Amino acid sequence: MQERLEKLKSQKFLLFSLISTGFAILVAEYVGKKTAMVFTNWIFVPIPGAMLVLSIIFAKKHYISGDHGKAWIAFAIFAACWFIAEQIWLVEELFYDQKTFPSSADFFYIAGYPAYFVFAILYLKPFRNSITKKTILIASLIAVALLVPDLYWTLENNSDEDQFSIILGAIYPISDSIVLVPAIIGVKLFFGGKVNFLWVLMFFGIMLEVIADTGFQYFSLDNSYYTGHPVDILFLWSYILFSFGVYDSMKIFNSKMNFYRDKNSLR
Amino acid sequence: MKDARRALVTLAIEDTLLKVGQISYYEVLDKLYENYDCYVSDCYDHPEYLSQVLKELYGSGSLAIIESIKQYLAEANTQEEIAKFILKISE
Repeated sequence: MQERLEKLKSQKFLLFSLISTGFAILVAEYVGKKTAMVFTNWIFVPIPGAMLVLSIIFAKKHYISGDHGKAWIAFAIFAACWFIAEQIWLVEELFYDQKTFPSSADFFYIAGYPAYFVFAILYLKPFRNSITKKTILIASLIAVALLVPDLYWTLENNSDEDQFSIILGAIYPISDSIVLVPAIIGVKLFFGGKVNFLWVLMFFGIMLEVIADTGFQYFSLDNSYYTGHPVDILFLWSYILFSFGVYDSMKIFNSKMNFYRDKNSLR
Repeated sequence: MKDARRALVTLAIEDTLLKVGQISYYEVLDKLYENYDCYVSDCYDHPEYLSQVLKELYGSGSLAIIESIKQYLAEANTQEEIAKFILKISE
């Protein structure tokens, strides 16, 4: 009962976080583009920062033990990469007034994907006996179905952007599709279990990334994107979903570990 | 002899769970104690407790952990008591 109440509270807080961040960006956008740009740049400090802090705390709790211990280290690396990328974006735009795409931030965004993929693979590794070829095939088909129109849209866009920007832009939907596959597998695999919520959040977080990256590409190549554009709400939401996923795992695996660390007490 | 079999089953469970992660192992211990007032070694007599706890945590993914425990015990499967344990945990 207590557990259910806590879960409900956490879900209410998640909903509140999603609505309030979305609403705040829309208000800033309503005030003006400059306000939206400054506000959005700064809001990308605490939200990805929260994901990074939570993932470091959780990775530290695991003591690099077992597949899940290594998986959460990979997740912390992913969170660090994207946090650094967001801060580079902020500094380049607010302090140096430079073009943010393509920029050195892209290196860290892209570097985050393999780290996330490693996290997902290591997390699912102990359960590989239950992952059928059919599940992998279905998950891959869903990912490809999302990738094809997305990629077509990016590559066929008639814009004045150089070839490098277009190719760089295409890397994002491809990477999103790749990391979507283990997320779909995770949702199916852990159905009915407590850890399923983490994977549902990961799945929706990546789905939001797919939509946000598509929107970002479309508006960037169209030259109508600016920091604070409503499409940024989706990026923020994905960070919030990832953060709540980590937080939920921390709540689940919050046993009286210190008591059990003294193994003699079990004998 | 029963103690040896119990130790083997305990080792199989502990080894499998520790491969998943220390934190998962502690959580399973915690849940076993919280829900059934038992320790890992008691799962030899009550494998259903372990499968229930694993299901609560990992849903259908729990079957993979049970499969790994079964693989660990495969060599000893010829012993009637171990075979019984495997049969019960698979239910």
